[in-house]
Amino acid sequence: MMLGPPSLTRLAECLVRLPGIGKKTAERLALYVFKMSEEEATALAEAVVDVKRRTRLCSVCCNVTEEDPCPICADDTRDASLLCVVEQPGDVIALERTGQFKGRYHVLQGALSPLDGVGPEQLRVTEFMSRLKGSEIAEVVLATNPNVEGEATALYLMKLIKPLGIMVTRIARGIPVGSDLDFADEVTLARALEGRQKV
Amino acid sequence: MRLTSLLARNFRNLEELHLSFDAQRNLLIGKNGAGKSNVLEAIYYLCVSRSPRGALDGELVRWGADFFHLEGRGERRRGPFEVTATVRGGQKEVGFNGVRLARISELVGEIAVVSLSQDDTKLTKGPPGQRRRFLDIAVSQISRIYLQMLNDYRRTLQQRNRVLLVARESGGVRAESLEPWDEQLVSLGARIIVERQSAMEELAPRAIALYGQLGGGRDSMDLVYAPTVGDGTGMSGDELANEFRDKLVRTRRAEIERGQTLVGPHRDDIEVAVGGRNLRTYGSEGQHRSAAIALRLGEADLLRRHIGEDPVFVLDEVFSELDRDRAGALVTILEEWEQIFLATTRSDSIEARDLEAATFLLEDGAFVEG
Ligand SMILES: Nc1ncnc2c1ncn2[C@@H]1O[C@H](COP(=O)(O)OP(=O)(O)OP(=O)(O)O)[C@@H](O)[C@H]1O
Ligand SMILES: [Mg+2]
Ligand SMILES: [Zn+2]
Repeated sequence: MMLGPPSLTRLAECLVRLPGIGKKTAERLALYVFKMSEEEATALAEAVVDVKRRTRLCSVCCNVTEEDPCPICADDTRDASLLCVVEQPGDVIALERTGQFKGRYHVLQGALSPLDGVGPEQLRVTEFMSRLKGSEIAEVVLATNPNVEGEATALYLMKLIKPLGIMVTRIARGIPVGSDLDFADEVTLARALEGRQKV
Repeated sequence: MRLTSLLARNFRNLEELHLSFDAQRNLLIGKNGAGKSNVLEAIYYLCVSRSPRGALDGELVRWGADFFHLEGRGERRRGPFEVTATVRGGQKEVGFNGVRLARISELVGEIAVVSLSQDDTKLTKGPPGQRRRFLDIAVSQISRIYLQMLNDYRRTLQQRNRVLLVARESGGVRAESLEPWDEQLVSLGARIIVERQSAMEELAPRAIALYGQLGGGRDSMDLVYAPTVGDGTGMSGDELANEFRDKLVRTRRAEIERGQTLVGPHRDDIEVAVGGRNLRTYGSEGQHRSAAIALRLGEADLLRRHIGEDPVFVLDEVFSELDRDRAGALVTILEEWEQIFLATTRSDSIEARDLEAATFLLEDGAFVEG
């Protein structure tokens, strides 16, 4: 890392660990923090710590939340018979933005990927299965990403759900192939949701 | 389709080269090392965004420069087109008709291209991977979905191989861990084989006929798609999927022992024989050359039929080792092509004499006279 005061270097070294941030960017950001007013810098530091102190995974749906259960799980105007499974918290945000889905969610916190050492144990599958047992859930929508890993995850879950006699649908491939759910625009996503197919 | 102009900046030894083409046949003449192959490579690169020699993007940047830029203009039946490619700092940017492409694969199929060079004897001399690549590039140019399937298949294969490798180390695997990958391997694999089957059904007879035409009927070539699943002829996707699934079950133990997937389209081959004998084992130099030419012409013919117009055809020094009769036959075959680009070192070569072509003299990566 760059030559300079140790505190600057330490900040740059922390930043470089963030996804999408290279060495150069980290150095630039660290220098930018140096130029901030003390209030701004404190606000940034507190915001970072707050995320860690205040948020946790919802004990029901495993989404990131400040209150447990999260606002969506606590909202009883939502359709309790419909459950949508996604990979990441960002997918919930994307789907909520469409305003089309009235059920609840389950966030797996990833997708199967042996190459990255991610098996079923690394995902929130146990939580998901215990949610299904003895519940009023009538339909599970598998909205994992339309790529190889998302598809494998959907296939894996399907095998687990089938014996329970719950209807399983897979989000239709209205989404550009190979892209992540997160990036799909709202129109395509809404269309994909309408067109979900029974599997 | 035809290319009407080419601009190459810092592409290999082409510092700044601008060429306009208005003829059907275009002949690049120059000494060894002048940059003829580089021009052909630039044309090919503009069409499919990769080098026909399999070179890495970084290797194409002129030594000492930090980027290259290519521009091509041309005509298709659908109208004029303009394509650009820039590589800088490991980043590639491709534009088509003024739109920057989000994914490079979007370019595939817009402008079709076929390249024929002396290197192509690898097709029949080399391992099966060479022939799979040949087929994959041809089919990808007529079906973008095929390219997506190939990428997904490759990714599935890597994931599945990792499961098998872990299984080998830990001495076993639970069926649930393999199942999701098996399912996709089978469904993607079966669809890939179906596409390869039908492409080969069209390509093989044409290539065989062209081989005969080249050799004046003195010997004959056989070309057979040899997949690891199915028999290579007209099987349906469902039949193939069933057989694939069975084979996976039967080879599972061996797969765990080896830690890799042993059946599937990633192991397919195309068998090439001349005079009833395997070419790879028994072929003469001239037979390898003729077979490579026939395969490429077959590929060009496949593209022509599916796209409804002729692909751009680049030929690098392909006449030099052909006997007079074969060279003459090739000239005749090439005459009916909408647009071809050829490279040769000698202005008295057969192609320079017998093909009526616009000539471009190259020296040290620069255009000297036409
Ligand atoms: N990245 C690069 N930067 C600069 N020069 C390069 C680069 N890559 C290759 N060259 C040079 O380009 C020159 C021309 O290569 P090219 O293969 O086009 O020649 P050619 O005209 O086809 O010759 P031949 O008749 O021998 O096939 C070679 O001398 C090579 O050293
Ligand atoms: Mg050359
Ligand atoms: Zn919740």
